[in-house]
Parts: sequence; C-alpha cells; structure tokens
Amino acid sequence: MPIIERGNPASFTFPRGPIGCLLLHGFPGAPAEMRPLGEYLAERGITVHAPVLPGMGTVPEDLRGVRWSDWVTAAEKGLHLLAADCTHSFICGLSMGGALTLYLAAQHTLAGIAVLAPAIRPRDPLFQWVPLLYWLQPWIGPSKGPDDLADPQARALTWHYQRYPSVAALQVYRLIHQARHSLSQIQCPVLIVQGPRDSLLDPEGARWAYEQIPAADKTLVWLERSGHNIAVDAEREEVFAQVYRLIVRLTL
Amino acid sequence: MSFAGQGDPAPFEEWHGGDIGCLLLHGFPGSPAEMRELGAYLGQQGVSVVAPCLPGFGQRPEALQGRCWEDWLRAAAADLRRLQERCAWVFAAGLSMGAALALYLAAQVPIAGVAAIAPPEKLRNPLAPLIPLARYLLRWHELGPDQDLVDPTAVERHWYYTRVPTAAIAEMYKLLRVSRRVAPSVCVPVLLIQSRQDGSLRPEAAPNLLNRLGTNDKHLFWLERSGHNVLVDVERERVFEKVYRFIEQHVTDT
Repeated sequence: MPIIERGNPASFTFPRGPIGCLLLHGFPGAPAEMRPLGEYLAERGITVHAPVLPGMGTVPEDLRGVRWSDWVTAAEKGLHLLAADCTHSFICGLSMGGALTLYLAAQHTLAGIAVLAPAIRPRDPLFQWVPLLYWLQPWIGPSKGPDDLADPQARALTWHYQRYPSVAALQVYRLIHQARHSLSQIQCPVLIVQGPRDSLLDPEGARWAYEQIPAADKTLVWLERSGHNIAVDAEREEVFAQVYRLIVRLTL
Repeated sequence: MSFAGQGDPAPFEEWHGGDIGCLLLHGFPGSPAEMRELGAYLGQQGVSVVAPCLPGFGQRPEALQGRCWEDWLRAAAADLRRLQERCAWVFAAGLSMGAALALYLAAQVPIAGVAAIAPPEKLRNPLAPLIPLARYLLRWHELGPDQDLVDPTAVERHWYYTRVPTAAIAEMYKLLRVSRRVAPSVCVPVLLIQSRQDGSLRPEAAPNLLNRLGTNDKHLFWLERSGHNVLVDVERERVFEKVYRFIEQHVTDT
C-alpha cells in the first residue's frame, strides 16, 4: 500500500479569544502535524498560530544554511504576533518544536508550556556524533522501514521531508543541547506528554527533563499506544484534552 | 529566432474544487506549452492542474543565464505546495527533465504519486555529458529543432528554445544526476512512460530506472511510435489517458 501523506504544510492562524497558543512543529515537518490540535483548541475559543519554521515545508535544500537560532527567531516572531492580540501566551511544541518550546520558556515570560514528545534524548546512537559525522554523509534519509504510528490513518495528517541535509541535523543537535541547558531556568507551568513506544526518542529523556525543571507546577503524562508523533497518533484526542485542560486551568 | 514551436509558453493553472491535483513540469529547454493538452485532459476529468514555467524558460534564452537547478526545484516545490494547500491528493507529472524533477521532489517531500514521462535515464548522444565542459569556451549552444517527432502537427503544441546558455545545460545535467541518485528513495507510486523511438534517450535504459526506484508500486508503459516529446506527438492521447488512469487508480485504492 503506498504511503500517501496529505497534510497541508502551510502555516495557519485561527484568531479566537484573548488566550493564545503558539504551536511549534517538529523536524523535518510542517504545521500539518499541529493542525488537528490547532483546530481542537480553536473550536474551544483559543487563538492559535502555527508558523512554518525556516527551511521546512518547502524542499529540503532550503534547510541548508538555516541555523537553530533562525528557528528561535521565527518562533519568537510568532510569539509576538500572538501577544499582540492575546493576554495569555502559551506554547505547545512537538519533538524538536518541544525542545524549542523549552528553550523559549527559559527566555520569555509565558503563561505555560506543553511539550509533546520533546526532543531531549534521541535514540539513534549516532546522533551524538552528528557534529563529527555530518560532513561525511551530506544527506540523511529516507528512514528504512515503517514509522512507529499506531494509527495508520495518522500518517495522512503529517507532512515532512523524506530526507534532509546533515547540516540541518547538526542544528537540531545544537538546539537540543540548548534546550537541555534551559531546563533549570524554567519557572512557568509545564506539561510534558510522552509515548512509551517512541521509536525516535528515549522516553526516559522526558522523565529526565521533568526532573530537571524547577517549576512547582509541572506534570508528566504517559501515553500507552502512541508512537513518536503523539499530536496525530491514536491517542491524539487525549493529548489535545491534556493541553486544553492545562490552558483552561491556568487562565481561569 | 531563438525558439521553435507555435504553442503558448505561458504558465497555466486550472482549479476544479476537487480533492485531486496534479503538478505539470515541462522539460528542457521547453515550456508549459507541451504540458497544455495533458493539463486540459486532466482538467476535463476534474483534476486541478498547475503548470509552472520554470525560471528562465518560456521567454528568451538569455533569461536562463545564471539560473541553477535549485531555482527550478524551488519553483516546482512552491507550486506543489500551492496545490497541497487546496487538494488532498497531489500528483506530479513531468516530461523529460520535468520527470527528473518530479522524481527528485517525490524523494524529498510528500506527494501522492509521480508520472515520469520520458525520464532521462540515459542519453543517446554519448558526448552530451561533455557539453557542460565546454561552458568556459562556448557560452551558447545551438540545439536545433526536434528531429524525432512523427506527427507533423506537433509543432503547434510545443514551444522551446533552439539555443541555450551552455551553463544551463550543465545545470540540467546536475539535476538529472541528483535525481538519478535519489531514485531508490522514491517510495510513492510511479508510472514511467517511454517511447521506443525516442530520439534523445536510450529507451532500453528505462527498465534500469524502473528497477532502481524504491517503490513497489511502479510500472513502465511503452509507446511504439512517438519521438522524445511524447506529449505532443502521435500517441499523446494514450499518454493522457494513461496518466489519468494512474491518478484515478491511486486515489480510489487508498
């Protein structure tokens, strides 16, 4: 059966009430994977904005020359856009977007953050050697074998590159490094959601991040069946509800 | 005169509000003119089509100066994305270099399937790959008119440069090379269409490309009489039908 992915890679904004949530997609994805969550929150009156992070959503060649700080700048721009209309700003990020969210939470005053399968500890043992290996093999992918999604329909909700330049993986590496070092400065309320079957990340990375965060209001939620991309997989409704409940709880 | 053919080289698009879209990528040194009838045929079946004029093509050959294959890739990807914003199922059909571009895109970004028409696996002229070496000596290369077309009315349907900057040919070869390299990464359904009378390509090399593609859902459809540009030659109706059937099949299958 052919793998047909048909998410929409474009950025989206649903203007609603004074409570806003920035949605940050993963690597090398696009806002498509955040769209079901965005629609869920917008239906419940929350303003959402999901930007396309630089180099993604077009062709992987565009990732060349993009630095991790460009992703930070793009996310901050989205945050300012949201802050112009909203009194409360939240960020919800998936995977690399989760690492970006953790980094931003240490730099900005936020009402709260939700990180979905945050990229803290990638499973691939070669990942830690990316700074040495990236110039040996200029391109990475496509991954062999099927992905880890429990819901085969979920694939249709995503949009991501099949292969990408290794220099971009180096930028992900650096961002993860920054995110790990940001953990000890996070004071805002945090929700971490992680699937135990994640094939890309060591789920223990989520627990470790949870332990490092000094914030008093922090929650770690474990899913049961989902693979890495928990924003679209079988238990997505539960993830959406968790994110929504966090936002509601903090803005009552 | 630096061009040949009486077709309209302007880019075109047609939106039908349906769920199916198809990106149409012209060849080198052609223009959207050669994709127009295929676009009209698919349009009649309710498929939304977008046929970009790749940067530097369809105007004056001077416009090709300084263009690189990444410019063509970006332009194609931008229109692919526009289609994906409105259609759930987006395919790409490309002719010759456009086929290489469509396969390259399919290896990189989500796409529902590819119709690669006369994909340049192996060129007939063994010296052709040397042309880029000449770019420091000769800035322009005369291509002359297509010799291999059977249908005398084909000239009404296409529009292409008869002289191009040598550097642009070098860029085309780069694109063909990267496209061949990523063929094993193409995991979506592919339809290859190749004429046995192709004057520019070695038709016997098409099965090699078929074998190297990473997908299991792949077919090679042979034409018997057409020249290289099968979209304007005598068997074009069969090609249109085949491309539509390919699209239709892969939308209802899933």
